[in-house]
Amino acid sequence: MQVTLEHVTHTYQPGSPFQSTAIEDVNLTIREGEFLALIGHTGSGKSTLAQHINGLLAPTSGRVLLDGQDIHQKGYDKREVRRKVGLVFQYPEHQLFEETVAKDVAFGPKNLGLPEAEIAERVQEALNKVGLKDKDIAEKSPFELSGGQMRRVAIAGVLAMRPRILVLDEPAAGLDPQSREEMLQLIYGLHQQGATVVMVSHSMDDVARFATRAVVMEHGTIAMDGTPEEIFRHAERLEQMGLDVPSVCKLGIRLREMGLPCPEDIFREEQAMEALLALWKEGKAHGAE
Amino acid sequence: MAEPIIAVDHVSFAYEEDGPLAVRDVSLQVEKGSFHAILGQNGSGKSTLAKLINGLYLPTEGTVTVCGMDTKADENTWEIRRRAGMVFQNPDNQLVATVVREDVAFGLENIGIPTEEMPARIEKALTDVGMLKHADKAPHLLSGGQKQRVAIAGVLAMEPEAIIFDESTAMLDPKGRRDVLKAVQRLNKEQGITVLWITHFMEEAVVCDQVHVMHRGQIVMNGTPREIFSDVERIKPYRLDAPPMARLAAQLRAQGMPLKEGILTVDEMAEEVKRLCK
Repeated sequence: MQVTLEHVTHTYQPGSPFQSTAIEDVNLTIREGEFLALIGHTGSGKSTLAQHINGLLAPTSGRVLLDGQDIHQKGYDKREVRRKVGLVFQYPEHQLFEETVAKDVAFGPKNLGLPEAEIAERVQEALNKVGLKDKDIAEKSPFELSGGQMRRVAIAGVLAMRPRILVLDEPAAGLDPQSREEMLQLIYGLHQQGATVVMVSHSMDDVARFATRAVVMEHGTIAMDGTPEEIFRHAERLEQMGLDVPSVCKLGIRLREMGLPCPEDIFREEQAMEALLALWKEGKAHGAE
Repeated sequence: MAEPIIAVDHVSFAYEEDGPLAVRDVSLQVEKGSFHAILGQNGSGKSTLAKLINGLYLPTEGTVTVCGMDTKADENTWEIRRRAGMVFQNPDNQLVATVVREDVAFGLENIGIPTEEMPARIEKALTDVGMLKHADKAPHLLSGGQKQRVAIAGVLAMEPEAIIFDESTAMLDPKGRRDVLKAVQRLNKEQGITVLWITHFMEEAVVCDQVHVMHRGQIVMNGTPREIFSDVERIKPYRLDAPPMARLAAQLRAQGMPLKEGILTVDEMAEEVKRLCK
């Protein structure tokens, strides 16, 4: 399953004095099995782009294709898109509303008109996937849970639709370090199980660790598109855009400035460890001569 | 030791009578001109503590003293909030006016500052946070980091001695976070404003003088950032994580590389690697 954005432009409140173009002439194909990170400064158009992937927003001009079909053409069943592409908003726990966790997760499947037995099965499956297996939790009010747990309930609500593509807008924002890590491992696990993932993120360390592809947005257009390795080679360009590079990248740059032969292409912690150990051992060997 | 601006003395707090304690027997002092951080996971009680200091909540047990005034005495409330201002998490919930300049004026009107004094105070406050050029803009046109700096200006215009930041960078992007933290560091260094910085971002705590770690309503560690983060394993049970360079240093030490203790920043790591590898 693949989604293609063709020359997509989105203008909010066109024709009014508040008219603003959030994305302009964006061309992007999200391929099956990718873990695509969407990066960019606030206001760069990432969230607007994300909301086109499941048809929540329609382009002002251009087309969005799901497996080659224009999802906004007349007669196309948009529910199909919503089913196949799950969108998790920023702070999705703000949208929980049901009396119990189980009812909240069941909301989507119910709207699909599925039989009760299948709904129950999907709810259990989705709660298992987000690590909330405990029967007690299913019957609790979502508002009794911790922030991290509430967010997982919200994601379970999307997973219960059994989407093939999962679009998440800053899923780790506002979580403490351990809850962040748990959330990222959860998303990584879903990707490993075959989901195509599109994740809006501000954390370059997370992008370096998990993404197979990174798309950098600036002023509503795609400024860079490549593997994390390719993107992070352009530290200066990223900084000009108000973005960061992973901290180990910064370390590598600093070491090279100091004249140490630190290899380029270090962007994950384990790579930095290897490179620094090699540098140290080499230094020791030379010292012994 | 300099006189404490904020003194929390054996404070406990429960939201409901006979309910569980959200803050349990907490004591801490923040000296005049210092920059303290409170670190803790979501739900550790750090925001409750902030609201106790600001007099939004009153202790169930113990006393909170701000600039020598007990928060329990009703007559102190407004003076405490003026002298120890507070900046909250969500930038969109704090700005009330339609123009930046008027938003900064809002607090001044509340405390009865004469109209003719206002423009000078407002301009100074906006200058201090680097937002003067946006003085006549509508707040909703600003980025999150800019909005937070306007919120800080609103507090600054009241000429406080201390400012309490309750996760004020949690909803910002990396650049917004950097800009806000830089502005606050400058206020602390150049104007001697006492800062209590509540956060769960480890790398922000690195720039503080003193760090207090909260866990399940209690303070479980006190120390300089170097003391707190030197032992990566020790902070893990509190659901915190060391800054990336401290973590990397710990892993390299485990592989036998004799890096010195207390590495927190990229520059410190680079210097140390150079020393060992030249």
